[in-house]
Amino acid sequence: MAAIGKSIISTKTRGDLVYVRTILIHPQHTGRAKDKKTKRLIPELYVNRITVKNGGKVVTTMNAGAALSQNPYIEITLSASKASRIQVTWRDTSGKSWNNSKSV
Amino acid sequence: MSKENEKTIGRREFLSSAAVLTATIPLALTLTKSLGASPLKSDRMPGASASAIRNVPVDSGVGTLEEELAKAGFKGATKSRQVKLRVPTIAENGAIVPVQVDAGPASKVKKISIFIDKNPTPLAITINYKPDNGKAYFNARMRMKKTSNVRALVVMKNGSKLYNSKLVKVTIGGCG
Repeated sequence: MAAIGKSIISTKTRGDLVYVRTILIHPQHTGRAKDKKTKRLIPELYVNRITVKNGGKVVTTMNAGAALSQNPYIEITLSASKASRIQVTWRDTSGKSWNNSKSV
Repeated sequence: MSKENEKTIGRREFLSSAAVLTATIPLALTLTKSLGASPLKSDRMPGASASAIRNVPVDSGVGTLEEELAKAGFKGATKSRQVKLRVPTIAENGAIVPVQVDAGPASKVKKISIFIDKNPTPLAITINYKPDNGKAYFNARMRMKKTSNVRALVVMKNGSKLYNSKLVKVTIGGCG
């Protein structure tokens, strides 16, 4: 099983915008799926809060339900003139959180 | 042969006897009560805390679509082409549906809420923007349970609300 919590940030500057794409390795259990062997519901465990900081200041916050796909993929933009060091924090329903950062 | 017949008749008689019925039904109920689950939800993990598993039956969702739309402030929103919502017309896999929203300059936008109408939890994600975002843009892969509308509600800083919605047909549902 790939390491849960590993994330990748990739940035691409197009004109005056920096497209920030990030993906996190995470199973995203919705709480409605059954384990095929035990026939019991797998308890929910999904990313519910994503924070994007630029140079230490919070730029974007996202509150998510269980609707993000497994290994959630998010893409947002930042103004190219202001983008310096991008930090993405993912937090899931168990309270665990993971950070990753990338300089533009 | 006759022995088997005798056996099966004996079992039938036993099972249908009123005494057994009156004994097993309350027994079953007390057992399920002690496990903390109703008889219909026998597949919940015993001993799991209520916070770990949301105690709602499957398909009822945390809130109905109307409730969630109202909570998010959908009332009074006008459908607008300024909210560019890009979704596939037909999603081959409901577990990975690319949803892209572009609502213009981020300096004017406060937040974007994405709803997937027929999901158990219709409110999929809310994104709060700041002017440093440049553009109020969002792209992600979402899960869709079945064919339904995908709506993007954009709440502007001046209080006005715009939305756009598109129908996405799902061939294989993705909520597990």
